[in-house]
Amino acid sequence: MSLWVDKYRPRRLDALSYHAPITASLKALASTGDFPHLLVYGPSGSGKKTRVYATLHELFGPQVEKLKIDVKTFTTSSNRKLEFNVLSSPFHLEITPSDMGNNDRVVIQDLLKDIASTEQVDFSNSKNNGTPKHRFKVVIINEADSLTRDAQAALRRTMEKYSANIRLIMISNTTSNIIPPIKSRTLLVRIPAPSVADITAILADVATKESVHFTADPVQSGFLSQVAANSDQNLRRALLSFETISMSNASVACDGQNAVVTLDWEVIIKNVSSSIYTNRSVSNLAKTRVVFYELLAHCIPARIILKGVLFELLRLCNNHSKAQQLVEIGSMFDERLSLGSKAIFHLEGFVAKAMVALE
Amino acid sequence: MLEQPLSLDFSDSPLFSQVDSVVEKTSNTFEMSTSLLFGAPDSSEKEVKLFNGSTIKLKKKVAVPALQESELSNEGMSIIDMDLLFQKAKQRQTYKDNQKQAAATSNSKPVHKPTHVWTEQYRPQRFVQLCSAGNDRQYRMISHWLKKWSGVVYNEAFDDDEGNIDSLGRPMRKFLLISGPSGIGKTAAAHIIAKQLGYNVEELNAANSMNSLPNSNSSGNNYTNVVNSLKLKIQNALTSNSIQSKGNKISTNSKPTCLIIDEIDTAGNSSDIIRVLNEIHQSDQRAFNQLNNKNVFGNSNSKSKRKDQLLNRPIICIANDAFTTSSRTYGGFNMDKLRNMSELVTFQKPTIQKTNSGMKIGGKALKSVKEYIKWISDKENLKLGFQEIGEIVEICEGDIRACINHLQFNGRKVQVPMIEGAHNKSTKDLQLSWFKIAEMIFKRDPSLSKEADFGMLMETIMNGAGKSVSASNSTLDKVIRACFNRYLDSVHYQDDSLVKPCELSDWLDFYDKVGNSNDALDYASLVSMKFWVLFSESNPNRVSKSLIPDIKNLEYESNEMKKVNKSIIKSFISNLPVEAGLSLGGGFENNESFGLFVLPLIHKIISPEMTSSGGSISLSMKSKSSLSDFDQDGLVKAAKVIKDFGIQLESLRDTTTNLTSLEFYPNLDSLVLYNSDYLKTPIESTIKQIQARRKWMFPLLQTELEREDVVRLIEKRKAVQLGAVDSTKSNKKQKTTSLEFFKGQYDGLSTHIQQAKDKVDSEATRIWVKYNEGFSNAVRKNIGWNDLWIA
Repeated sequence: MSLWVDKYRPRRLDALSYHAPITASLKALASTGDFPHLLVYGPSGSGKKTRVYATLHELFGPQVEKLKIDVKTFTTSSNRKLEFNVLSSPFHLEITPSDMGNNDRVVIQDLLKDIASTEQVDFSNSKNNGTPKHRFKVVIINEADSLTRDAQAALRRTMEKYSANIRLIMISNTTSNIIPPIKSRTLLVRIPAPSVADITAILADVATKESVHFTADPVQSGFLSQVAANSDQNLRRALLSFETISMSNASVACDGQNAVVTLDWEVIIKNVSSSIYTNRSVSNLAKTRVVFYELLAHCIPARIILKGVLFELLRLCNNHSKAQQLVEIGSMFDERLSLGSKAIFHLEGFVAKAMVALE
Repeated sequence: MLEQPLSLDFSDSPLFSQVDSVVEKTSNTFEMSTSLLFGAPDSSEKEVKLFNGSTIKLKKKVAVPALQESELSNEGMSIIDMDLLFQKAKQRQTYKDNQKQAAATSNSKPVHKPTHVWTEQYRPQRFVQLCSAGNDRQYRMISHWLKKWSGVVYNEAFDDDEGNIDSLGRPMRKFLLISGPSGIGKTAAAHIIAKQLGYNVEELNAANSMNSLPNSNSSGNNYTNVVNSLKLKIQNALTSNSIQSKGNKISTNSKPTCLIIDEIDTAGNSSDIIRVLNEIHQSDQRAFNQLNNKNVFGNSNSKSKRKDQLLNRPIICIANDAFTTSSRTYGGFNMDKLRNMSELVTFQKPTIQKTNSGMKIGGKALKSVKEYIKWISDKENLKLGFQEIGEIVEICEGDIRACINHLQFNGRKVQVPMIEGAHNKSTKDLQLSWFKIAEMIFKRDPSLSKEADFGMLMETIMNGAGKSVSASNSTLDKVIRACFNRYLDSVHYQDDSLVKPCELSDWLDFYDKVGNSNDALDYASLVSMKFWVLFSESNPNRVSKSLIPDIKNLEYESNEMKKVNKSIIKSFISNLPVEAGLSLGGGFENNESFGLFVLPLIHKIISPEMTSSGGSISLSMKSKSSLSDFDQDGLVKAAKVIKDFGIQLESLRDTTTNLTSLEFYPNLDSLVLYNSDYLKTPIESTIKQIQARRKWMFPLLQTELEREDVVRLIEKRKAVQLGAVDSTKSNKKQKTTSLEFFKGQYDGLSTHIQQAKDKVDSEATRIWVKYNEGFSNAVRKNIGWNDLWIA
């Protein structure tokens, strides 16, 4: 594959570079040949899936990498046909419940029942041991936190009933949306975001392998750590932006300016925030509304916008009590955003209140 | 003529033999002839009812002789009573008029069929009758596309230089997808244009597309049945010409069919329809390729079981929303599939838009709608002024069909509900439109106390005329949105403080939480009262210039663009190879990171900046070798990424400005480029820069892509050959038992066949020998030289 993100994605547990203790315990888990249901959580770009696949590789061998996409059709109770994609290898399959909308309960139940009712027989190993080795199939559920309550409740029983044939690996960003019964039935594995030092090390490794030219020593001058710091501790983003930087110049200049890949929406949020800070008036409020509409139209989630503006305002504001007020307002509107559906109301409300708080 | 009925009636009756003269005397001759009613014949006096309602009595001819005498004497004296003559002439005239009027009323009645719905009655029949509504360009695009078919359908000569047509003269995209909001004439336009170009229109819509066959119950068969019957229907429509019978003889010049699939996004089985369309498309593609191959090689090597058919009739699909999101829950990528296959024409609502520079666009469109409505109102004698028509158009939001409906059922009594009139009891029955209410919310009556005024408005909204608005989710939402769009202006002109917007934000939050449930709708409408409390003033219209230009359409546009961008992300993700999907964060569409940074960064990667000449590369530099090493690397990399992610390079022609622009498909630009004052460079210059760069970069990329294709093909072949060598090696080792020997032989054979097949794919210069195995052709397979040698 042509992108570095893909090219340098570790395929084996041995190749994983950071979070050594987690890797060790995963390895221990895999060596027994069996493992409990897993709930892997952590921020995006921290390597959850990479670890899951590496573990599967350890368990089942390279066949896990032979992925294919199936389109499954499913008829719901209201006689509607539902199509969703299932990513599968001979040993596992991966589903994303958000594809199914409100029908996820029925779909997941049916799918799991379907898989559980057919037992895996592994002939290749039967010669050696006499008994088939791995008789269970692994089901990976992406975005487990977007499962509806119903679906989660349905999962509780299924997890116990079919535990002989199925292992679930749930991947999510947080555990807050997952009901306690599920948490108690799974082994929680937290994958924290990689530290700046971790990312820097990986970037340096990639740079030497790709023989990127620098004007100065990238590690010494702190260039790579700056790239890492500018990517919100998201390794995926760090690698992508590093690749972009290295493509823009034949030899990368190691100054701070160059370490940031400025994305337009970030620039806009930054500039809007500073204008909110300096010009607290109704006419400026009106201007921000136009900007928010533009950002929302480009699929920037409202909560990201809110967060961006809030953090930028906090950076500009050096008054302690005002900062506290801002955070309070920000968290209030963050809640409103996630509960409500009309983002523009809340974004504007936040800006209005923040302007008043800054007075 | 006038005297005739009289003489007919009674002259021969013995009773009334003399009656005519009496009648003459009554001086109402003419009306009598039409409406005389006679009483019982035996009475001595006759009662006569006249047309004007008065009754007169007719007596027997007792007094007649004297009168006659006097008359005779008069005539004898040859003195004519001029007054009498005048009177007679007048009566004759009035009678004539009456007759005419009666005739007129009796004739006009069939025209005024009260049962007829006007939307049907005024359905345009010819192209000139179409209301343009700002969609003239779209009409032209449709007819342009249909015109291209005439090469195939009518065997007309076609211009090769038109562009966008294949070698048969058909348009590149075989389907036409018309999308746009309801009621602006999509269906009408498609029908009329197709008819105008000589097609017989066959329509398939949600009603007649056969959701399921009635007598098939088993779920498995049900599905195939539906698909098959649909297919049959579409195929029939496409292959048959309609034969019209005119009078008694059947006309020989039959018309070709143009299939119009209406409401494709809302039909219950839209996914089936699209599937069938997809099949048609693919079979057409295959048939077309075969045709082309035939021309090259002289023989066809078609061995597919299905009979591929060339599509030679146009198919037009009509949908409300080309980016339907609701189908996500049950349809998946249906509309995306269809969109990729078809030429898109998007109709627009006639609304007035203001560009950033303050220029109005779309005013003409609105005017044409108004004129159209005016035309109908004149025809129906409604005597509406332009003002009222404007109101109607605004209420219906540019939906022409809704306008006509509105006209028919409310049109006769359209009264503009004055804002002052809201206090009037008499206007209470009138329906208030949502924008009137929104206007009322910002208006305070200075003559009333605040409490009284509040009560008044509250009454209107909660129970009175505004109930119809506040009782429905969607209209209430419109009111709130309109208020939201307006409040900044009014606060700006009042005290310009931020306190009120702050207070409002809490109420809007309340609205957001409550407004979506039907149970608590009464509470939600309270929010509009809050708007009144905060922002109303006695003279709201002094705010002339809005703080935000074009505020009304801002949200709509933002939503539309979001839909487009979402579908871009979706199509990008669906094109991702599985592996890359994993490392880019999973191939699911709700992932925020794609919009946030993955796609922007990839956009940067696939449009590398060439550093070697500082951006001033002239167009003459078209070879890769003229670039520096680093730039070459960048180019190669970009090409690889483009190839892997299934991105296509496209050259598009904008129909309005007639400029060609070079775009990626999926169009990452629309996702990545922002139009904001808060950026250093305005969007126009950014686009210009990008286009200038792409002008010389796209050819380079294209050649690079082709080279990449070749490289990959070679690699693939090598890999296959290596694999073959491996397998033969292993075969040699395994020759132990007889069973395995034959198995090995078989494997060897199959790998050879495999190899041969692969070679077929890559090499066009193979020599083929016709070889019949046995004497029947029942089993046919490809056998190359290798097989013969091995055997």
